[in-house]
Amino acid sequence: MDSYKINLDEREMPTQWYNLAADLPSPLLPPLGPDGKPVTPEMLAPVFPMNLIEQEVSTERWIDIPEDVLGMLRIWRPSPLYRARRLEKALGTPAHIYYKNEGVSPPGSHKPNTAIVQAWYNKQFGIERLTTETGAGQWGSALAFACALVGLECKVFMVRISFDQKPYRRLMMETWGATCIPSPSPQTQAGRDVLERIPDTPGSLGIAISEAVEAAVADTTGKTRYSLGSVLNHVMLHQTVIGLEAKKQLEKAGERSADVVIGCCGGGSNFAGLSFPFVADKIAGSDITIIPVEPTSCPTMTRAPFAYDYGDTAMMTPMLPMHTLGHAFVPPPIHAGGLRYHGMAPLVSQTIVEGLVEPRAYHQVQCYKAAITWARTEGFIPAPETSHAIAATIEEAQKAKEEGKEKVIIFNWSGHGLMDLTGYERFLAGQLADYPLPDEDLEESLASLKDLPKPKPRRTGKW
Amino acid sequence: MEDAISTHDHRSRRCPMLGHDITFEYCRSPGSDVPCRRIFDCWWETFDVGGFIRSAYGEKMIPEILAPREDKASSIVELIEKARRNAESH
Repeated sequence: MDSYKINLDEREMPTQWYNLAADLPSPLLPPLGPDGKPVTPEMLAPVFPMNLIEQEVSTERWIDIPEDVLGMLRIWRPSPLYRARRLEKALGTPAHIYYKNEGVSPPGSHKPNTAIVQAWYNKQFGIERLTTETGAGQWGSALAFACALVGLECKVFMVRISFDQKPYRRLMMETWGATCIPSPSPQTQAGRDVLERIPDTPGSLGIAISEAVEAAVADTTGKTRYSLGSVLNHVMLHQTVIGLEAKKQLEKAGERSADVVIGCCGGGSNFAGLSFPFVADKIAGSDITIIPVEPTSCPTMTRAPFAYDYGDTAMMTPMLPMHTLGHAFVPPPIHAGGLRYHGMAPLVSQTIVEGLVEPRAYHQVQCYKAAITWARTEGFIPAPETSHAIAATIEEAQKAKEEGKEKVIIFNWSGHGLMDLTGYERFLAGQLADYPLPDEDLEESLASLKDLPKPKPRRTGKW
Repeated sequence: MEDAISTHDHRSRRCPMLGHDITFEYCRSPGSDVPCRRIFDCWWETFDVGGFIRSAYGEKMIPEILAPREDKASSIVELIEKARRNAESH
C-alpha cells in the first residue's frame, strides 16, 4: 500500500531548534535605529523578556527546546508530511512531491509554533500577561491559545471593525481565556487620542499595534510584555521544528534528502521554518535547490537590491538590512495578503545575498491555476499564499519530467483557502489580471534609495 | 466633475488585511484621515480608484497613501519611545 501520510511518533520530535545565524557564512548586519546606530537588546527590553532577546541575538547553532514547551507542542506536533501522489499522477512526473501540513494546530496555522514558546519564556521571566494586536484574528488566536496553555493573561487589541464583524475569531480568543479589546480603546493614550479625534473610528492595525506596545510599556509593575508573530530572528528559530521534522519524515519515507525545498515567503517565518534546516545541509555541501516564492507583481526578493531602507516614507523608523524595493515602492494589486510585506526577515535576506536560496516569482493567475489543479487532485483548497508555493512545485515537477529525474520536492502547506474564496470566485469568473512590475516603475522606486547609506553586502561567493 | 467623497462608499469587498468584507468607506478612512495604503491594490479592478483619490483628496495625498506597510520589527523601538512619551505627558 502506498502511504499518503508520513507520521512521526511524538518521541521523535526535535528537541532542539536550529539557529541558522550560527552557520551563515557571513554574519547578519544589525538593525539600525533612527540615529543610525544598532538597536541594542536593552532598547527592546521594555516589550520583550531578556530570555527571548537572548535568542534573538544568539549565534548558538542548537538551542534546546524546554521539556515543558515540547509537552505543549505535542498537542498537534509532529505535523504530518503528505505525499501528493494524485498530483504526481496528474502531472505524469517522476518527481516525489511532499508537503508539510501545518494546518493541524488547534488555531489552524503554523503560528502557535512560536506563540507557545514566547508565552512560555515570558512566564519563566516572571511576566504575567502578554499583549498583541490582531486583524483577522489568526495571530491573536494563536497567542490566546498559547497563553491558555502556559497560564498567562492575554490581552489582544483587535481592530474595531474586525471585532464587530468577526465574532467567531473573537470568541475563539475569549474561549481560550484572552481579553479581546476593540481598538482603538480608552485603555491606552494612543487609543484615547484617536477616539478623541474620531469617536466612531473603525480602527486600524497600526493603531492596534501602538496600543499593544503601549499597554506593555506603560505597565508600571513590569509584568506585561508584547508578543510578535513574524519577522524577528527568534520567531524564525521557533518555526524550524517544521523543517527538522520534515527531514526525519523524508528519511522515514525512504528518501535520502530533498532535492527541492519550496515555501511561500511573506514575512519569512513560514518559509524559514521549513527551509532553514535544509539550508544548513546546503551550507555543509548538499546539492539542494531552495526556493522562496513571491508574487511577480511585488518582487521584493527577485528583483530588488540589498540595501538599507527606511521602513516608512517619513524616514522615522529604524532601518533593517533587508531586500527592499525602496520606501517609495508602490505594491501593485495581488490577491495574497500575507505575501505583501515590504521587507523580508533579515535572516531570509542574508540567505538570498549568499545565494543559498533562489527566490522565484509567479503571476497570480498562474498561482490560481496551480491551486485549482491542486484542489482537483489532492482535494484541499489552498490559501492564496500557499498557491504560490504550489505553482513553483508544479513547475519543478514538470521540469523533473522533462529531465526524466526522480527528484524529491517538498513544500510547506501554510493553510486552506476556505476563508479566502473571493479570490477563487474572481479567478473563476476571469476577473483576475497579472501585473508584473514594469522595469521603469522599479527604477523609479529604487531612485529613492540612492542617498541612503549602503551596507557592503556580506557575501562569501561560495554559492 | 469632482467626485463626491462618498460616491463609492457602498462598494464592498474582502479586506486582505482584516480577513472579512468591508465597504469602501473603511478603505478611505481606516481609523485615520489618510486612506488605507492598499486602497489602490484592492480597488483598481473595480473602478478608477486613482482618479477618485486625485479628485476627492488631491494629488498631494497620493504619496502619503502609497507609503508601504510599515514593518513591525523596524518600528518597535519607535513605538516604545512613543509609548514612553505618552506615559510621561499624561
